[in-house]
Amino acid sequence: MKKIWIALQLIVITTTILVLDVIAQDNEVSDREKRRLQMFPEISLKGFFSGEFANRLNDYVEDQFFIRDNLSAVKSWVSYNVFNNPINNNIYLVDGVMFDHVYPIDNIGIDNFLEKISNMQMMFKNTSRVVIIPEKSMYLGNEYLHIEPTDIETYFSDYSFMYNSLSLEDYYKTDLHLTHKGSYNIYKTLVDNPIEVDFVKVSEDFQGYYSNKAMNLFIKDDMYIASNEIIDNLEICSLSSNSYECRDGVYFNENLLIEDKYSVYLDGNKPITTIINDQVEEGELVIFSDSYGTSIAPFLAQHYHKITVMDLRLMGISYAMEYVSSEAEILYLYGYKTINDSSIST
Amino acid sequence: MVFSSLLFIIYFLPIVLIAYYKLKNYRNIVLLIASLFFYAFGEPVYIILLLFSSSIDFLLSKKLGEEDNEFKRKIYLLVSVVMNLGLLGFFKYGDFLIANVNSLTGLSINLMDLPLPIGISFYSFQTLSYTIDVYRKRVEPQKRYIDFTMYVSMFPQLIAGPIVRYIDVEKQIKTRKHSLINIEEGMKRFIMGLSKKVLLADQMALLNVTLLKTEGSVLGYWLAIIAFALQIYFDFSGYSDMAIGLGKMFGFDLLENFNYPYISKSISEFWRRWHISLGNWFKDYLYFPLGGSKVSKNKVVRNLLIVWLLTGLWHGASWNYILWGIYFGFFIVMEKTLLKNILDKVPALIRHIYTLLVVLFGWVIFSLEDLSKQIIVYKGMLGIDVPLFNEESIFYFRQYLIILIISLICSLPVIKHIRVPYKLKIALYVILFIVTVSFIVDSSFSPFIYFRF
Repeated sequence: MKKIWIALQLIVITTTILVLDVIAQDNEVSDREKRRLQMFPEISLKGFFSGEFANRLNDYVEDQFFIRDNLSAVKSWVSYNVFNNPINNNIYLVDGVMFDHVYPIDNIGIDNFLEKISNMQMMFKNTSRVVIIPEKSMYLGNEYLHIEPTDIETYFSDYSFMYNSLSLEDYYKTDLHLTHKGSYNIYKTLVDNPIEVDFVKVSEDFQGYYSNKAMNLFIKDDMYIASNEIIDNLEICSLSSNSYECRDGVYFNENLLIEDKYSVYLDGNKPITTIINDQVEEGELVIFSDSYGTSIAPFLAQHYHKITVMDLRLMGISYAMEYVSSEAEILYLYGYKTINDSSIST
Repeated sequence: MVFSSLLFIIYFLPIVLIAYYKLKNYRNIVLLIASLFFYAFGEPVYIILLLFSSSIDFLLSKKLGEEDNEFKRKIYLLVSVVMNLGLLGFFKYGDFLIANVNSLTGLSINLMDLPLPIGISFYSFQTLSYTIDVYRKRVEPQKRYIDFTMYVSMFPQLIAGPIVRYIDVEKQIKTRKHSLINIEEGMKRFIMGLSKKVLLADQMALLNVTLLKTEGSVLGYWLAIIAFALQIYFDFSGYSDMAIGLGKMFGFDLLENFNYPYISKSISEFWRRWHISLGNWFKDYLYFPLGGSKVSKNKVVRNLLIVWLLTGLWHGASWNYILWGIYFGFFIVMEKTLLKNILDKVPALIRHIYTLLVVLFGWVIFSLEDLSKQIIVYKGMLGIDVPLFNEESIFYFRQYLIILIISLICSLPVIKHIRVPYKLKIALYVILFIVTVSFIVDSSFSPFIYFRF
């Protein structure tokens, strides 16, 4: 037999892929990438001659490729294991833990953040505190390029930079966020008399944002929620479609069944979320935060009658002003990555 | 459309191959339609330019073939040369000329801002070589318009070469051999080219860009330029491999365009191994007509400098390309004059190091349009005002070490000497194909952090 097996195999492979890709149903949204996918573009002469049709068709084929996720996983494996590259899609994989390659220091981003915080502190004369959650990669070993906490501490000398209060174990292995236990450690530094809680494991297969980005689907995290008499009786209200919806309990266990399991805490990122604690008669706290806030708020809610968590990436500052009373304390709580990306506000 | 896209690999190529082998009597028509579709996919408007240019050349060459009057023949040739170079000049160098006139005279003539027609540098040279060869009576003018337009627009080589001269494929346009063995050879070559581009060139490009953004160090600058040297080699030779492989699938034997240039021991040798089709084109249609090396020494120098000035200009409408061409012209003149005796006497290793250094320093000019940035990189490479290494350069060196080693090995004629059993070869090619496609797929993977953050 003549040597034609490579050709035959490739013909079979590409033809099979072509047929299966044509048959496969198109998806409107990618759960993994959390974005809308390109659908088959409209055919028009204008679109054809402008080149728009060609670009969209290209995007369509790539977005709707039926083994897209599987092949991304192959690429990830080859990058980490064959090319011995510690970074894939900007995510480090070191000893079973994933880290974002946040580097170098973005001085403009930091200045931008400091200016915004300063403006807000001038706008709201309330008692306030600024807490910075260190970027997880700051706990990487010296052999991996990362921002050293000592290089940025001076920027945050007036604030609470939590590097020494945390350790790598306080973060999820597959995500940028603090675990609920890690958030509890932050909480302990923020109040004088922290209240004991029980942690209840609610998931053993949490795969965070980094898993999707690095397409490493083998590493999983445990996920916990906290429980005690106070937390179990908190009430939560959040703004949805211009109306408040309230319910009992700050944990949304039903979200453990969806891709974005992290939204178990306060139902994920919302412009405004309010937690009411009827067991405490007074005290109000406003938290301006990115997604780190949703995991920490339940612990802090034990000490206030009302906590309002606001995400300025999802709403305008003028709108936020309506929700800050003069008696409220304010906590500005941000992860360093948000600061380095200077994306505190939309 | 680009070869390294899913649309091409999964849809376009299989469909065209099936149509091509099914419609046995219409193979050139299938190739022509496929090529025009391929071109129109990236440049729908400029397809008119491509068809206009090839139609004029087709008609002029027909006249050239029929005409005996030497004066008229010269006029036909002149019209072809003026049209091809005119179109190339207008689209590729128009704005460059206006910008330079503006800066010299203080005028403010508006730039045309026209997008460059894809592949114009390649197909202009192809059609030029055709009419010149018809004029010289080296080839018969093509009688079938479809065959000629298919030759000009043939998608495997349309966008980035190699520059396929009509004389080299004249017979194949009419009759060519088709077999599964050819398809197999073509597929193997295509996969090699695709993997060179996606697995090596793109990674080296990342390393180059990343390093040039970091704090400078000697190690960092050298790594960046070595990465660029490997990137451009694998990018360009990978594309040529894909073109040659695709040609084979459709029964064409296209000439080689690269022959391990980084093993060269002189700059002249480097240019005999790098972008061979361009070098041969300039040799046959410019250097020899100018007198080549069979004229006085001064004229040889003049001829070489003209050729290298234009070689530089061919690569792009920017002063750095012109400078780059002159830079190589200078070394080639030196090798033919002052350095000739010296190079003959020194050990091969020294000649090799000399060649690599000249080429690497040349890539600085080529890769950076801005002269001030070139100076920064040169100073960095020579250790002026920068540390020997820093945290970043060491990290990126370690990060890319394996792929750097693979790239270096692949740039040398090592792998082709390794004998691999056929059964293992089958597995290796299939794995290489899947891995390469996985890198293509992942390049469009863009998780949207906003939802979560």
